[in-house]
Amino acid sequence: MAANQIDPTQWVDKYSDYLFNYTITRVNDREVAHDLISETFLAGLKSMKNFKGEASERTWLISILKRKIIDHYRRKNTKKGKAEVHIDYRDGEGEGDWLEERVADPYGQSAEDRMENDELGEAIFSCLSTLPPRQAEIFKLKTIEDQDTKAICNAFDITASNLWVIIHRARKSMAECLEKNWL
Amino acid sequence: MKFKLFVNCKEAGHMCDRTQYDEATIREKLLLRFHILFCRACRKHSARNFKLTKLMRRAGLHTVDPNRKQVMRDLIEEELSR
Repeated sequence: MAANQIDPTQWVDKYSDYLFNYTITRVNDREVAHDLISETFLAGLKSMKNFKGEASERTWLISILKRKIIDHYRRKNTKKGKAEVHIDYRDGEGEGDWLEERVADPYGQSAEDRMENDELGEAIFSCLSTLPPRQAEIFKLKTIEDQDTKAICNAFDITASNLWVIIHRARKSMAECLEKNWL
Repeated sequence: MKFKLFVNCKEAGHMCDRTQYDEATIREKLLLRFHILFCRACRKHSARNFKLTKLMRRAGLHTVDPNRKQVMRDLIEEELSR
């Protein structure tokens, strides 16, 4: 394959779900995650000239996203800090600790679980990227979003048996791919 | 025979897929079980297929809402055409 190219018209189809999962485990809010991803794409467009093709497009976008997530927590903290001062003037010292805890919250559950699930998600997304785009899209809607067979058929203008053929192929490739990359 | 006890591999595969999404009838599930007793290839495929379902659940993934995707696409288009 040639050196890493950049093609913003494909970003949403290729990376939005991946970036979304990365974000949602860290900010725990769908709306915020959507906004952060849009911001990431815009920032990516602006600094496209700086893309040297050393890293993959995806890695590059993730590095932008990471900064956006940090910015998000900074913004949140300054707001919280002010609110705190208004509520309670006396407790100036404990404030810092409390804020840190808040920021760390999404990491709370179990660090190990989270790490393993992150890796699994990573493997799933890299397998998904090997499927034909339409197949991947339909598989995601059916499997991740649990969408109704009928709803998907209508959206893609296919029959139920078409859908099951697509699902069957996708599942077959996914199972094989994950067997290689995960277990 | 009115009640078909044996299904071919293609049908069994289809039943297996439907089972993964809880869309198979009890009859289909039983036929699948029965088919798997005799068919080694389908037994293997079926085990893999169930494993995939388990992994997908465990990963607990989310996707961006299709409408939101369109908004993002438009945003990028707009920015590029400037």
